[in-house]
This record gives sequence, structure tokens and C-alpha cells, in this order.
Amino acid sequence: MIIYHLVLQLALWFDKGCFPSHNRTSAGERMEKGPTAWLVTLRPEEIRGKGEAMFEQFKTRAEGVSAEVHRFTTEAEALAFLVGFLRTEGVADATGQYAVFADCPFLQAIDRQQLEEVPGLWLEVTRARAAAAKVGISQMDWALADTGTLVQDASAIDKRLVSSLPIIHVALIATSGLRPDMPAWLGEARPDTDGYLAMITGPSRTADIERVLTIGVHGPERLIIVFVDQLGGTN
Amino acid sequence: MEQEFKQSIDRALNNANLTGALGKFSEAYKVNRAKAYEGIDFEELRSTIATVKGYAASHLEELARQFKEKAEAKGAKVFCTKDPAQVREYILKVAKDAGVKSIVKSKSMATEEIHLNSYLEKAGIEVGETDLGEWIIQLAGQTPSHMVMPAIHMTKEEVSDLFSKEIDERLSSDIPRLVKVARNELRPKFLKADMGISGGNIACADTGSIVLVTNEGNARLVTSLPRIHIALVGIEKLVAHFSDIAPILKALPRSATAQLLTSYVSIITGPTPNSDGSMKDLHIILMDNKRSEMAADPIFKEAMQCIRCASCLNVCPIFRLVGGHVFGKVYTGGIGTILTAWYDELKSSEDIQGLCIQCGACKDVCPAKIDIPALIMELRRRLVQKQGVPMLQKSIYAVVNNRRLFHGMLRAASIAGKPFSKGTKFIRHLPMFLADLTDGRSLPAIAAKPFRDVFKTISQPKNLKEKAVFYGGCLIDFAYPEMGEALVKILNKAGVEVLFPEGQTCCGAPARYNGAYEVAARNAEDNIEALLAEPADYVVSACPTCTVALNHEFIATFESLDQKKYLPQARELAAKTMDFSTLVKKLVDEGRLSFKEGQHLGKITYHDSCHLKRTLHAEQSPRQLLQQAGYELSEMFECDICCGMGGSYSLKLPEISAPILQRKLKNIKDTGAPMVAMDCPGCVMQIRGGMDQLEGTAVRVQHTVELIAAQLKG
Ligand code: SF4
Ligand code: SF4
Repeated sequence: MIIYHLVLQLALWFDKGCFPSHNRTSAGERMEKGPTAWLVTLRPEEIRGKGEAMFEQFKTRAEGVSAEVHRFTTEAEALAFLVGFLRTEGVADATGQYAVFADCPFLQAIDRQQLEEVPGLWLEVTRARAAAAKVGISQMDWALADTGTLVQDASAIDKRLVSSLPIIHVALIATSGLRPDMPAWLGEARPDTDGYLAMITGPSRTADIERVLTIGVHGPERLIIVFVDQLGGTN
Repeated sequence: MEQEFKQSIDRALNNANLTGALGKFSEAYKVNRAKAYEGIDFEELRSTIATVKGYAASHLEELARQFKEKAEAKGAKVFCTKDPAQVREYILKVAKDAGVKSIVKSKSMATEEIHLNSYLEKAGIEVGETDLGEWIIQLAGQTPSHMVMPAIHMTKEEVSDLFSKEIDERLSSDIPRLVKVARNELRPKFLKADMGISGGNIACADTGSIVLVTNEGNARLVTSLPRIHIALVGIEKLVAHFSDIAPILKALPRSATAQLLTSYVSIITGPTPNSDGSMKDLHIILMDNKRSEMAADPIFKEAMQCIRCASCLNVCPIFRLVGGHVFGKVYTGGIGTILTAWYDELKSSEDIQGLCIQCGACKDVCPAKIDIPALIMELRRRLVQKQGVPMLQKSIYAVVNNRRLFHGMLRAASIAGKPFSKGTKFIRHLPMFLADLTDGRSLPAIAAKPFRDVFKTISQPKNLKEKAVFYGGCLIDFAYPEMGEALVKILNKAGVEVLFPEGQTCCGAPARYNGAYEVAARNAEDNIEALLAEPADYVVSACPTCTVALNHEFIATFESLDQKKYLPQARELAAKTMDFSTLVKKLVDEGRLSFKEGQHLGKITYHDSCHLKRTLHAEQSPRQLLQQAGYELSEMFECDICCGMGGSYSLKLPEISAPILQRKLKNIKDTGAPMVAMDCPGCVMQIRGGMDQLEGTAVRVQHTVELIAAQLKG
């Protein structure tokens, strides 16, 4: 407060120079249960009713964080897209150009013939192949609409290898896996059996140099999300 | 303050890159954060987090035990220790036993806290940071300057120099290119590492899960590729339930980086297979390092709620000037000061705690509902208790605590000040080391006649039906008596008689804010005696700092000193005390005061005083009054950011106070309004003094009380 200024001024006037010049010294039970009230779980019919709205919200949010979102009705359509995509991206039997596909219900359901025709695409994922791949493909288990987040039981290491090492990650997801938000999902999460639960929201990013947002650091620089309406076998 | 520390402040202030980067970031952050929280009830969310984390802080032992049990049942090895040395030894032993040659790390402040890297490197193990910011500062041999953005103090040119040296190739400063270089350089390190070390953002006791929150994807690689994973988790990360993840993950990314969610969240519960088919060797270390002592402290327990989002840094007007190398140690900013005092030792916070100007901006945004400035004040108090008050301050308090001597000296100053004020109302220059005080800001000359003398000459109407005791405060009493006169005029019009008890003295804020609680308590006692001596309907003050003292801090001071004698009276006083604008707004609303009709008074802008807005939450009343009076309100940029006055702060750290003031002056001028209003005489002193030294047409700086007094009917 002003007192300091005044008293200091006075100190100076009354006793000039008496004070040393380094004068700017300074000295200087909550509720007894862990509440869980924010867990709201929707019933299946409610989820269906909200499906379209949830998809739209998911798409907006995911695109907002630079993910690319596609949607197909059947597995066959999704497969056709996938094969076309791998060709466009120049996937080939050469280091740096491979594609790796982690085992999943989608792979069991489709006609693999079409995939086998793509040179450089591996269905047996190894660490070395994933590290030398351009594209990694895996199937996710849930999608959270309000943040545009994909969730997966990634306990199997190949699922993590294909989604973290390549430059592009293609994530397949059944439209029925949509949930409104994380609290809704938490009710279904099984950490006791799923040792590594992975959430992915957009591609890998950083702002560590001059706070400039840069996409693609240690993980993929592109995240392609492919919704399939008629895709069974998960959850 | 240590000379060395003062020098580090000067260096930071003169580092244009640093202040520019932090300044720009803090402006953008405010906007982005608000967007990220759209549609979310922040108060509800942070109450939930405070409850969840508060519960955990009071059940640490139980939760740690439960966590260990659950995680071990899943196959993880859990090591709990109080001692950082044991953490280091444990990690080294695991590494040695498994023949580990190289380690990759994802960001972990706990490892920085215990200086793990240098320890492992000395033992011949290669340790690589993989978070981009951490890698940059590792290459530079520095420490992080921000809890979320460790390399925010560095320019792209500096980064490109570092990287060029590392890969022995001349690189440009193109940021995407630099990021690619980091990816390419670190990838082989990930692939060859035998061990990954991570931190943990949340640890769930009921499932034994740890949660990792990252953007770059490095934590996924650190926890997936090497065959051994060690997670070092501070016990403050424990929560009771798996479902507690939801509120924390809702707030953490929004507060930290204004994201709805970070790119990656990994929830790890027990070991999972490695790519060669073996099982991961998963170790989780629950580290105490004085955290349980902190949790046992009735006041500091609150700090255990912190989720390390760093938003308290991003909004801090001081942090954005000096950065984390000055303001903090391993942990930075306001919360960093508190954590340093505990994890390190109280003495380590001695210098840095003095940087906090007590503006309260951090407390407003903290998603864990921590009253950071109050905890810093408590540090100050404990420091003073331990080490005593410095000599010079002691002599000041001796004066302040003797009302007659103090007031006598103030009167003397009005005469002694003449040579400096040269007949104006300002002191523009002071000699010698006091010159800093008038550098960029003039000081008010002491009034020829203090308010206590003026008051005796005011004749108030007889038979007014209510009474208000006016608490003037030093500034109004001795520098701005006209503000007091205006207040009497207004209240009289509303039928309120004003009493001015002579026994009132300094509100004790200066002593309290410097940790001298005993002095503040004596000030409080004197004031309680004086202000409650005569019955009155209200106690009113036109200084928010004084109002806060009267209605919060007297009680808090007595409570922290465990002095019970005056507590009941302190509560009685608190219940009666109102700030000027709130009282006048009430009188206007009751129809007891009315404004002249049809006034068009032109544009005005309003500066929020920290205490009025963030402690008294009274920022709307003055705005409404001014608009009712006929002013057209034009809000300035960052209207609620501190003006840099902070009581004695501008005296102790004028070099920091000055740039904060300059920013404020610019924001005021940019509105184009010819007048700026505020409710605090301290802010008037700071801002008016600044305007006085500014080139060009100055904006008029007024206390709301005078502007309102001029526009009332009758
Ligand atoms: S109260 Fe103000 S100055 Fe102190 S740490 Fe918080 S924001 Fe910074
Ligand atoms: S104190 Fe609050 S604002 Fe600061 S880092 Fe912790 S949680 Fe975030």
C-alpha cells in the first residue's frame, strides 16, 4: 500500500542514506464417499434413437481435430474404399510403403481375396513391418460423439503397432459403437479384462515449438475413420 | 530477495522472445479455453474434481494399498516409497538386473522432481526424452519452463540450431520440418530401447489402472515397444474409482491446451504382451516424497487436488512476463511455488513466492478449485514465522502499528513531499533508489488535509434514518480525501448518516500480504474496536482491498494465528461490511437514490480491481451504476487483469509492476474512451500515475464514487 511508499520516503528524508539499497526485500473432510453420480448410461434403444445425431456430432468433432471421416453401409463398400485408398496411397511391397492390418472382426467377415491382391499389405503384423509401413489398419470398438474419440481394447500389441508406428492410421468402426460421451462409455469399460484401453482423438500433434500446431509427431499424421453401419462382431 | 534472483528477473524481462511468446500464448489461451468449455458447467465440474481429489487426499494410505493390491493381482509390480532416493535405486536396479542399455521416457514431472535422468546416465544408461518439448530442453541442457509446454521459452531458430548440431546437418527453422527431424531421430531410439519410463496422470485404486494423457503419441510407444515399462506416479494422482477418470479427463485437456480431449489417452491395467510374445515387465512406483505430509496439513491439503493442467500459469500476469525459469523450479508458476515449498523445502520457495501479486486470476480458472493465492499467502506467513520479517519492513510495521505515529508521519509527508510534487498533485521523480518507484508512474502527493480532518468540516443533514460507518483506508484518508467526500454526499442523499471513527487505522493488508500476520492481527483488533464502537447499519469502504480485509481477512488472520478473542466481533464486522458500489447499487434499486435524467456522458471503460472482482464478486454493480448514470460502457481488452499495483508489490518489484501497468494503459487507451473508472484507490494511484507520464492525451482516471456522486439527483 501507499504506506510503504510514504514511510519509505520519510525514512529517506529523515535519515538520508541510512537504509541499504537492497531494500526491496520480501519475507514473506470432505464427503466421505467417492461419488459416481456423473456416470450416465443410455439404454440401447436410446442410443439407436440418437444414432444419427451422434454420428453428426462425432464427424464434426473428429474433423475439427483433423481426422477424416467416411461412412459406409456395408462391409463390402468399406472394403472397396479401403482397397482404393491403399492403391491411391501407393502401398507397395517396399520398406516404408507397406500396409499392416491388425486382426479384427472386420477381417473375419470380408472376402480377403481383394486384400490379398494388394501388394505390400500384411495381415500378419510384426514390429518390423509396422515400423516400415506407411498405412496401419485396425478396428476400433467404440466412438465417443462429444469429443470425436475412438476407443479400443488395445491389449493385443499388433493393434497398437499399426495405430502408432505408420504415417497413416485407418480406423474401422461399427456405427453401433457410437456412444454420446466418455461417462457413457466408462460404464461399459472393462479394465479388469482389457489391459490396455486406448483412446484416439485425431492424429498425433504437438505445439511444443513456438506453440505452432503441427500434425504428425511420433504417431500417425493422418487418421482416416471409416464407419460401417452393418458391421457385426464387436462389443 | 537474493541479488541473483533479481538478476534472473531482469534477464527474463529483457528476453523479448520469452515475454513475446508467453504474452501471445496467454492471450490466445484465454479465448481458446473459453471455447473449449462452451456448454460446460465449469463450477459444477470443478466441484466434482475437488471432491474426487479431496477424497483421495484424505484416504491416501487406503487408496495406495488398494491400488497396489489390484495392480499386483493383474501382474504389475508395485513399489511404494516415501523416499526419492529409493525410487532412483529401484529403477536402476530393475534396469541393471535386466541388462538395460537404453531408456526412452515420456513426459513425467515426477522424474524431474527426483532428477532421475542424470542419476541413470551416471550409471552408464542412455536416457532419451521423447516428448518434443522435453527432448528440446534435454538437448539444450535446460530445465522445463512450463509444466505443459516445457520449451515455450525457446524460438524455432534456437531449436533448429540444437537439432542441426544433433544430426550434424544445417536445418532451416521451418517448424513442420523440425518436427519431422524429431520423429526420424527418435524413432530408432524407441525401437531399440529396453525400457520405457512414463509418468501417470491418474491412478485408479479400484482397478489398479494408470491413465496417460498425451498428444504426440510418444507415451503409446514408450509403453508399448520396450519390454519393460516403469510408471512413476506421485500418490496425489490416486483416485478412488475408475469412473473418476471422466471429470478429470473432461477438465484436464480443456484447461491445459484448450482441447476437448488430447490425441491419446492410454489406460493401462496390468501387463500386456510385447511384440515378441513375452509379457511386459510392468512396474508402477507410487512415490510419496512429502505428499502425505502435505495431505495431512489442514491448509495445504487442498494443493493435492491439482491435476497439473498449468492453466494457473497461463493466466498469471507475472508468469507471462518472467516465465517458469524465474517463477518456479521443477514445478512452475503459482502452484509450482507451493509444490516446491513442499516437495523441496519451504526455504526453496522464499524468493519465488514473492512474485505472486495476489491478483487471484489463477484461482478463477483452476479446475481443481485450489485457492492458489491463499496458499501462497500461507507460505509467506510460515516463512515469516520461521525467519522473521526483514529489518526494513520491521521498522515500517513498528510505525504502522502505532496509529498516532503513523498518521503523524503521513501528515509530515504532506509537507515534506512538497519539494517533489512541485505544486501538482503528483510526485513525478524521486531521488536515488526510490527513483524506480516513479519510473513510468507518478505517485500521488499527500493531501494537504487528510480526510479525517475534512470529515469534521462536513455538515450532514440531521435526522437521517440509517447510519453507515465509513472505513476510509490509508489511500483515501491521506491521498484522495475527495473520494471520501463524494461517498458522504451520496450516502446522505439516500438518507444515511456517515460516521468516521477516528480510531480506525491501516487495514493490515500490507502486513498480511507480506506474511506478517501478527502485525495484521493487531491492526485488525484496533479496527474492530473502532468500527464497532457505535451502532450502525453498514460498514462501507470504497477500497476493495480494505473491504476484503474487513469482511474476510480479519477472520482468516485470527484463525490462522488461532486467536479466538476477537473472532465473534470480526464476524459481526464482516457481516456488516459492504463495498461502496454494492451498497450504492442496493440503495438505487430500493429507490432511495436516483440519477439525473437524460444524461449522455459519453464513452467510459472500466478496470476491474482484483479484489472487487475475484474476492467480492462485485464487478457488475459499478458497471450498472455507471450505465444508469448515463455513461456508455466500452469494455477494454483484458479488463480484469491486474494493473500491477498489488499494494507493496509495486514497491518490491517495480520492474515487474511497470510492464504490467504499461499493458493496462495501452488496453485502456485502445478503447478510445476519454475516461476510465475503477473502484479501488490503489488502482487509481497506479493507473493515474501511469497516465501522468504517458505521451499524448491522457485518459481521465476516476474512482466510481466521484463519477456517481456527480450524477445523482437532489
Ligand atoms: S494470484 Fe495472480 S500473481 Fe499470484 S499466482 Fe495467481 S495469477 Fe499469478
Ligand atoms: S493448481 Fe489448478 S490450475 Fe494450476 S495446474 Fe493445478 S489444477 Fe491446474
